[in-house]
Amino acid sequence: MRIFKPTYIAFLCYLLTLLLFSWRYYLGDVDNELFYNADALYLPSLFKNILIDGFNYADWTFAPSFYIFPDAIIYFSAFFLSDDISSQILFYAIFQSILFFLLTTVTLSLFVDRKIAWICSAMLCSNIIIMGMFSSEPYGISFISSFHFGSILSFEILIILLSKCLSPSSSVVKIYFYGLILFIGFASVLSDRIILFQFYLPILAIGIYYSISKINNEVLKIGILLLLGYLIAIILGRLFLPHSADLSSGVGFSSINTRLTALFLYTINLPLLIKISLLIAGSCFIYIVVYYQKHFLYSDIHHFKKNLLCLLFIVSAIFMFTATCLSDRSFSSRYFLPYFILSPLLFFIIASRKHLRVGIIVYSSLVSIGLLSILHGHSRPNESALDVRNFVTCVNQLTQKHSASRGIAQYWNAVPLYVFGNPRTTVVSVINDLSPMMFIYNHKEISGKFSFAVIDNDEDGMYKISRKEIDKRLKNSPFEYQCSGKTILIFDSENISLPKVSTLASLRKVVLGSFIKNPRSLLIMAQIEFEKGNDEIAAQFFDEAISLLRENGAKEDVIIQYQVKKNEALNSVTH
Amino acid sequence: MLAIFTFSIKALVLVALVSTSLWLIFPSFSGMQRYVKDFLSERANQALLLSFVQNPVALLIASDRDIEKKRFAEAELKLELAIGLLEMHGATKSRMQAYNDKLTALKDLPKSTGAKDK
Repeated sequence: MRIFKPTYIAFLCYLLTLLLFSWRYYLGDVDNELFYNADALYLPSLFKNILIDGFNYADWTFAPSFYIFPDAIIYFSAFFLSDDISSQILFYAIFQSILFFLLTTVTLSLFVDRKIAWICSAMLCSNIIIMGMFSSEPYGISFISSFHFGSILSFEILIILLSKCLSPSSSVVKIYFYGLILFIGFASVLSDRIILFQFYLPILAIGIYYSISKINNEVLKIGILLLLGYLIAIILGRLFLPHSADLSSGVGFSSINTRLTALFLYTINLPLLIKISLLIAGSCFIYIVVYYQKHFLYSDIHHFKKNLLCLLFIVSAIFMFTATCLSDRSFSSRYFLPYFILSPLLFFIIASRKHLRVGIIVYSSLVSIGLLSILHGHSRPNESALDVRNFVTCVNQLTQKHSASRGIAQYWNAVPLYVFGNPRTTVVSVINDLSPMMFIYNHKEISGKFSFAVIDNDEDGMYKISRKEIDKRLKNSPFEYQCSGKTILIFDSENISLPKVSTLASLRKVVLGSFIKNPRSLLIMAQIEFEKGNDEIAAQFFDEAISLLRENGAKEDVIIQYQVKKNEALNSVTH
Repeated sequence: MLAIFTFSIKALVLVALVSTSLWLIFPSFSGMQRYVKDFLSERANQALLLSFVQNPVALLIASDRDIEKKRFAEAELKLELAIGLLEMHGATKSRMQAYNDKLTALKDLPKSTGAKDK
C-alpha cells in the first residue's frame, strides 16, 4: 500500500519525539522526580518484591487503586524485557505511549479518513511527549504508571467499543462487543475507580436520559453492562485481592470558586508552551460544547455517535469536577487528564474539514516549536530533580560499606531506596515516631531488626523521622553521613526494631483477642507479639487472658501466675 | 422499557457465566493455597484456631494422636491449650496434674516438626 506523504512525515515525527525522549531519559535530562517518586515507583517496587525477592502478593497492602489494567500488564512487558529497573521504567513509558497512539488512531479512524486519523494521532501524541519533557503535570504523567493515565487508555477502549455497539451489526457481533464491554468495564474499574466518574456514571446517566426521551436504548444497555462490570469488580476484588491502602479523605464542601482559583493558579505557573497547549485543549473543549449545542437535534447514526461522544465528554467533565469539589483532598491536575488530553482528539472527530485543517496546522506548529525549544535546551530539569539518582547511589555505597541491609526511612525516600537499592536491601517506610507508615507496603517486612536509618532534613511533621526516637533505642552512637542533604545513620553493631503497628491493625488484633476463649492461646500470641516488638498488642493479649480467667472463675494463684508472666515479659523489654 | 428489562435479565445471566469463567481461570488459587498453608503453619494462628475447641479432653485426644504421628510441637500446643481451659474453669491441681506431667514429658522430647513462631 502506498503511504500518503504527510502521513509518513507525521508518523516519522512521532517516532522522532519518542526517540528524543528515550535519549534524554538515558542522559538524565528529564525530570527524575517524575519517574523516581515513591508513588510512581509503586509497580516497580511491587514487581521487585514479588517476582525478584519472592514475597507473597497476599502480604501486600496495595495502592488505593490497584492499577492492574492496563498499568501492571504494560509494566509486566517492560519487566520481561529488562532486568534493569531504570530501563523497565523507560520501556513502560514507550509502551504506554505506543498503546495510546494506536488507540487514538483507531478511535479517529472510526470517524475520519484513515490517513487523516494517522496524521492527527501522530501530532497529538508527539505533542504530549514534547510537553511531557517540559513539565511533569499534566503531560509528563503520560510516561509513568499509577497516575491515572491507564484510565485514559480504558476510556479510549470503551469509546471504540461504544461506537462499535452503536453501529448496525448482527446480534452475534453485538453479543461479542457486549462481552468485551463487560470485561473491559470490570478490569478498568477494578484497577482505577476514577473511571467510575469519568465514564460509567456519565454513560449511565446519558443512557437513562436517551431511554426516557425514546432516543436510543442501546446506550442504557452499555451503562448497565458497565455497572455490572463494577459489581463483579467489587466481588472478585474482595475475594482475590489483598487490602488496599486508604487515603484519608472525606466530603468537604470547598467552593467551586476555590477549585477554579486552584486550577487558574496551577495553569499560570506552568511553562509558556504548556500554557499554550492547555489553552488549545480548552478551546477544543469549548468547540465540543458549541458543536453539541448546534447538532443535538440531528438523529442520523453518524451525527448521533458524535453527539453522544460530545455529551459524554461534557457530562463526564461535570461529574469529575463535582466529585473533585466535593472531596476535601487537594486539587490535582491528574484527575482531569482525560479533558486535557482527549479534548483535541474529540475536536478532530467532530471538526468540519476546514477546522480540521486549522487544527492539524496548529498542532504541527506546536510540535515544531516544542522540538526546537528542546533541542535548544529549554526544558532541562533543575538540579534538585537530579538528586534522586545521586541520593540512592550515595546510600547504596554507605550500606554496602557497613554491610547494612535493612533500614528505615520516610515514605518518599524509602520506596526509591528499596527499588534501586542493593540486592536484598529492604527499606521500610516509617513516620516520625518510627512506627510503620502502613501505606502501600508488604507487612512481612515490618517485623525484625533494622540497621540503618535515613532522616530527611527537608521534611517536617510525620515525614521527619525523630532523631531522639532512634537515639533512645541505641547504646552506641551511630555512624553519621550526609547524602543529598539527608542524614544517614548506620548503627554501630546493633539493631533497632519498630515500636508498634498502626492503631487500626492493633485494634483488629485486640478485637480478635476478645473472640479467643482460651487464656493459653492468648498467652502464646502475646509472647509472639513481644518477640515481634509489638509490646502494646502483647500487653493487651495478656490483659485479655487475665480478664478471661477472672470471668470464668479461675483460681487466684493461676491469675497471679499470668500476671507474673506479663510483668516478666514487660521487664525484659524495658531492660 | 420491557426491552431494557429483558436485556437486564440477559446481562445478569451473562454476568453469572462470566463470573464462573473468571472464577475458574483466575490464576491465584495456588497463591491462596500457599497463603492458607503459611497461615496454618504459624504457631499464633494454630493457637487462635484451636481456641475454638472448648473441651480439654478433646484437645488431650488430639494431642495423643499427634504424639503417635511424632508431631510433638503440635501435641505440646494442644496440651497447653487443654491446660489453659482447665485453668480458666478453676480445675483442681490434682485434676491438672496428669496434663502437666504429660506436657513436661513432651517438652523433654526432641521436636520432629515445629510450627513457625513468626
